[in-house]
Amino acid sequence: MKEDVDWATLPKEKRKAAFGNVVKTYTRPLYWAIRKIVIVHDDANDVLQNTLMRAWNGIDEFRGESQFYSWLYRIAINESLTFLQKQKAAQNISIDDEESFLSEKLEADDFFDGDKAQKALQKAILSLPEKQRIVFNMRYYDETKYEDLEKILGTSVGALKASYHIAAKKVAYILKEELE
Amino acid sequence: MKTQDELIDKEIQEAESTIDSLSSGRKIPFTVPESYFEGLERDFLSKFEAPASETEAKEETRVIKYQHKTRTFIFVAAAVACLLIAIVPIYKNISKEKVSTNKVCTTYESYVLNEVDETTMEDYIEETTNK
Repeated sequence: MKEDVDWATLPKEKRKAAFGNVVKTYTRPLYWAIRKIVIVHDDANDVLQNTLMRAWNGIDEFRGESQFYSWLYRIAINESLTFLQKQKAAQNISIDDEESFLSEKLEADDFFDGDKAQKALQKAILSLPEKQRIVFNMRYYDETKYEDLEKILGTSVGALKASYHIAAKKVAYILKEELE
Repeated sequence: MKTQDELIDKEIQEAESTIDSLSSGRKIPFTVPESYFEGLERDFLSKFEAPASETEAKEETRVIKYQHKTRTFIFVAAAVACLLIAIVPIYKNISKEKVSTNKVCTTYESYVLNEVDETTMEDYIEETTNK
């Protein structure tokens, strides 16, 4: 939508108005992308605000080489992962305990509104390695094209497809074990 | 014969179907507080616009204040310097004038005393005293 905005040459006052439109357009999809990574609503809210501020502060860095939404999503994903890393570091969570750390977050989230099967699915997704989890969420829930994922994550289409293939099979297997 | 890519696609589809059937669809099981997005957009936009413009205004005001203060200081300093430059020679002149007036007075007195003879002087004094 706003890909045609030439941020570099846009006067400061017009930039604000244009960025206001960006906020209105991308707030919801960015929120859900972040929420699926950090799980808890309050954390997602913090990360989203950081993402928007970082995007605004770094708007000069956007040169139109990538699409604007890819650039925004990349910031959102980086912010989400940084947020989780800081939380894990603060709580001395090791790599082995990462899955239980995220599952506990899921259990503690007041804004989880799923049944037993949906909780099982979320827990299965949380068992995936970080990158596979991001790819799975963006492919399975949002049906993001591999080509767009490539722009956001900077990984080749082939590698993304392989990643999603492994993730989907693993999630299906865990769900079967859990629910059947 | 199916290619490797096609086999992967088929396996992905199968896995997705399994997940769909077991987890009752692809609905994200997360919610947000009521009117969260509306509030967030409003709050963020006001936060994002207001402090920025306020900060700019403050910065601008600060700059103007600073410039104003600097200018005032320069004007005051210049005025003081001018006054000093002007006053010092005037003071010196006044002092000089005082001295020269004294000199003039002294010279005029002595001139009068030299030019007027004693008899005339005595007559003049007598005449003035009788009056």
